[in-house]
Amino acid sequence: MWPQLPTGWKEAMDMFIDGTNWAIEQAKLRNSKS
Amino acid sequence: MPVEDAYNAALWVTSVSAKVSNVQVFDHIKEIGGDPDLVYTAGNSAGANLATVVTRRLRDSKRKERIAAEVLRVPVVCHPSVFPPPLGQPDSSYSFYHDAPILSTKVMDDFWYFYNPGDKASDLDCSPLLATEFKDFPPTYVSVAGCDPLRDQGWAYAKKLEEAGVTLKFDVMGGYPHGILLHDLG
Repeated sequence: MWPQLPTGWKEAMDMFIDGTNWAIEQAKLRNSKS
Repeated sequence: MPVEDAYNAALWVTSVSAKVSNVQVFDHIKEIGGDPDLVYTAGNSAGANLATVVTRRLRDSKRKERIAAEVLRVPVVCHPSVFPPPLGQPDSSYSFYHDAPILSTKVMDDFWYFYNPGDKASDLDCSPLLATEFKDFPPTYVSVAGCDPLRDQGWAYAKKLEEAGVTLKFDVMGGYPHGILLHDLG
């Protein structure tokens, strides 16, 4: 549940952008199945 | 009022045909070039509260439109007066990081004072953490900051979503205070 911690502001921002993109991809994946 | 505004905005965006504030509106999603099946809610802090409240409200409505995914960053999901026991402990983030920069517990309490839910603090429109079911909730990304008074409630919400079978991604911005990404330190 607790992932590797980032080391800097840019890493934290990249982590957030990755998470947001993950949510978008999950939604598309779920839509493609329904 | 913020919840009503946010919900009406979601209806405006998602609707093929809807009444918003007694005005009939149509097809806005097509006007703005969007896909009605890929509408997301996203928010930071109190905005994340509104995002997940809107998701639930739309799910519980008789409308067919649904939110496709949620992005909840450093979310506020529970009023302190109705904290589940672990969140009220002295070692919880709400107490432990009471003097954190950007958002202290005192400032957060002041925000709640002005938000003023009155006797509705335990309503899911105010404290979505208290929900007992998350049926058909969309994939959700939750991100919390390590030194944020709100950290533990964000984590608790993510845990509930995960236990309910919601597709979830959860991150901790370790060592950071609330709202740090709004300050360009890159």
